[in-house]
Amino acid sequence: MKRISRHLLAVVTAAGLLGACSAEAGLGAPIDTLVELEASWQCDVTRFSFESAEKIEEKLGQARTRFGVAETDHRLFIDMVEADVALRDLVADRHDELCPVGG
Amino acid sequence: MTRTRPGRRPPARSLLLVLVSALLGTALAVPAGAQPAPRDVKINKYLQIRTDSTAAVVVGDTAWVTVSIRGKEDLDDVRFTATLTDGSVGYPANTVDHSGPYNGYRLDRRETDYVAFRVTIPEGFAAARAELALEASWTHGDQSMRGTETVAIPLVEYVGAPYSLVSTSVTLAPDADGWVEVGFAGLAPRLESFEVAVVDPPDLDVYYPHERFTSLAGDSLLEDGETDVVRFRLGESHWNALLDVQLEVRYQHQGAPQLANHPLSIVPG
Repeated sequence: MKRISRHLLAVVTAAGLLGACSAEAGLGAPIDTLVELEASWQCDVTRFSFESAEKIEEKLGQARTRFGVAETDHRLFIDMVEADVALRDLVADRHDELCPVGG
Repeated sequence: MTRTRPGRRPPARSLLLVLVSALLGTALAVPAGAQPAPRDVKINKYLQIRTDSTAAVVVGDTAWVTVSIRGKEDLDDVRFTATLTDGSVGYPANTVDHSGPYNGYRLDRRETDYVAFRVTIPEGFAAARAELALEASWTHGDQSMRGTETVAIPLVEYVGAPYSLVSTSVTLAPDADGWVEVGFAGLAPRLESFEVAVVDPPDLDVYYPHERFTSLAGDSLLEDGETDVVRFRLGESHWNALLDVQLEVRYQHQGAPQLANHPLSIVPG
């Protein structure tokens, strides 16, 4: 029950943020796309070893391209995540699904 | 590697201590300019190290690996150092002697981030894995803290093969409900449609997510430098027995179908 309520809250929050944030914060991508990008990137980055630090940035750039998200929108979204616990929960819950601890 | 962000710098705690000392007219136990020693704590109470095992590194190679972290509390000035028992560790050029979370030194509760380390594994390193000993420090409220954790780095040999099993022996954990996890490290670029099945013994009671085979957890593509896993589930009658099986691996490389077999020991945990 708690889990359902939490997800419901998250969806409602996301839906609210989608309208409010996209318009007011000037985001050029939907919130759910940005959540998926950030959660999957945080998962993917641990599955690779990289020849150089620059290759990590390249890989992140490829992930943004795959999701159709501009770097400025992604950085703005990360700033929003840091300021908003509901968004942090959305990213963390999706990250848990994609990349469970020890999985 | 850590992004520089306004308002996310470590607090000027030394200056505060000096000012308080001057106002009270008392000598501080800690000399001006020095900070009290961080308190040793259990790291998992404050931040979660989400990575048990990093991506695999080729023996004799230098590579960047990352460790996933998540805040359990609101933390400031989060820094990591690391050591390898045999081998060396380097840090991003902009932080020099430590690694910080990618998105800045602050890590809020439920915030997910990662730290990166440049590891060098010497030639001839005989073990199947290296132990990356992490030491993290942070401030929580007014308290400076530190904690330690160890993360494994799987090591693989490069012999011109397109990929390598992370290990030819895996442990079936008692709480795994029969699920066996086998790691594959990509060595050649882009192995597509990567599928794995147990072909021997032929009568083994085994369940696959895709009916007749299992595929990689991330996606069906195994890339150079990527480590991913496949999972299959053994019937309950096999959970407590040592099993020697043959894995059949099918994939597409440069447009051509490939097939290879690998022995795997499954050891009850």
